[in-house]
Amino acid sequence: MSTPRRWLDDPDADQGLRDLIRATPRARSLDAVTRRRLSHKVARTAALPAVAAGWLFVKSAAAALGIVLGAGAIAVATGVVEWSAGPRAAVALRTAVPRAPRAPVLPAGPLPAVAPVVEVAPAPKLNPSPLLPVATPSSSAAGTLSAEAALLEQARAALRGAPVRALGFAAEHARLFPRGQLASERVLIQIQALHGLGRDVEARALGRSLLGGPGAGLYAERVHQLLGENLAP
Amino acid sequence: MKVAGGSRDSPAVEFAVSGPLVLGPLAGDSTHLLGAAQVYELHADFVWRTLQHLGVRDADLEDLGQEVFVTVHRKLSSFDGRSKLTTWLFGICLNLVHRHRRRAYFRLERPHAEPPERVDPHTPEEQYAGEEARVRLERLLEKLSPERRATFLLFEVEGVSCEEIAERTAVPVGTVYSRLHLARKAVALAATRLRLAGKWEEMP
Repeated sequence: MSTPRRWLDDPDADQGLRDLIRATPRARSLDAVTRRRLSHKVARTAALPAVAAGWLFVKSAAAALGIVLGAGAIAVATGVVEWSAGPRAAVALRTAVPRAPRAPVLPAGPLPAVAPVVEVAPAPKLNPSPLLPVATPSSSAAGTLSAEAALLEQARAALRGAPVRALGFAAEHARLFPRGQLASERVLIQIQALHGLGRDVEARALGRSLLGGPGAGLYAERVHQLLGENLAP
Repeated sequence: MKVAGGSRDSPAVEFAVSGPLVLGPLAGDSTHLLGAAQVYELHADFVWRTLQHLGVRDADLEDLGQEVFVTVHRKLSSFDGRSKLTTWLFGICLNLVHRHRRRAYFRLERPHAEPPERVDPHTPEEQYAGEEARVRLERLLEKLSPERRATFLLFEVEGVSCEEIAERTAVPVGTVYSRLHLARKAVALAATRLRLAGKWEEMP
């Protein structure tokens, strides 16, 4: 079991995340004014019997939020906190984040004359792609995220001016990563590409499928922006 | 009630005048006795920072801090001194944060953080950049459990070693490795998703 390196000290870590962590300040200290105010509050509550103290919490929360806390208030009123400091059973997992495999790259050769047909459902077919003669990375490896991201970045870049090529990248992503972590992102790219090609019926079908799935919140606005509020066929 | 001396503005005195002083042993040395007021005096900052690591929003920090020290006041006599006092405090914070997250208003309300009241030693530009980075990182951490989130922040931002995190959180060091690994994976995934959605640059 080796000690992990901080991302800040690891040149192979994601540069954007390293920059973000470097710029993030440490947790704020308790300033003198808040310290004194908090002390007064604690002293006032601690002097009360447990039930009354709990009621004080409930009252202040309800006043601030305008809601009745119900069961949560009862839990607070009891003022009981059970905690065991004993060691917890845990399983030690691997310590190092595995390095991501290289992202597959589409050859720069001629593009297919006809845009790939996008399947809405069921899951994408796993037929070998005519585009990419690359090895399939292990789907279990955590590092596949980088490979997935790189492939979809190429697809996203191709959206501007080459939507057919973007669909090719997306199809390749579906082939290589049928259970990929970025499946929603792939579908969004497919929707954008199909919309760019004027294939709105397919785009809407994919839009409905995306918005009906988990984690669609991030993309709902974009999908509606492209295809309108009503995605009915 | 008895006033323990000193100014009434002092936090220690506030405790002493407002309720019975509960005594407990200081970890590792049974000859020392600590009261709740001394615990507050020594560890209020630790609790304040720990609550931030566990994901408590600025707007809720004071309420949670209050609950932590009221709990300390009531439970200090049951603290047996077998662990560090900070480990015991971390456990109280963690329990209260879990309970806080289960409350209905936590799920329904997403209040914005209030601007800090303290005098910051940094220039306004530095302060703004730091605050901006903090908000961006928060967005990547928002789906993590308090344990993973605290492990990530302690290790990556605060520079605390895994061994020290293990001691502070009362778990084996292997569990710290595991939490860090899973937290990193989740952060990387969240960042990737934002980039692909074209929202990384748009983040505040």
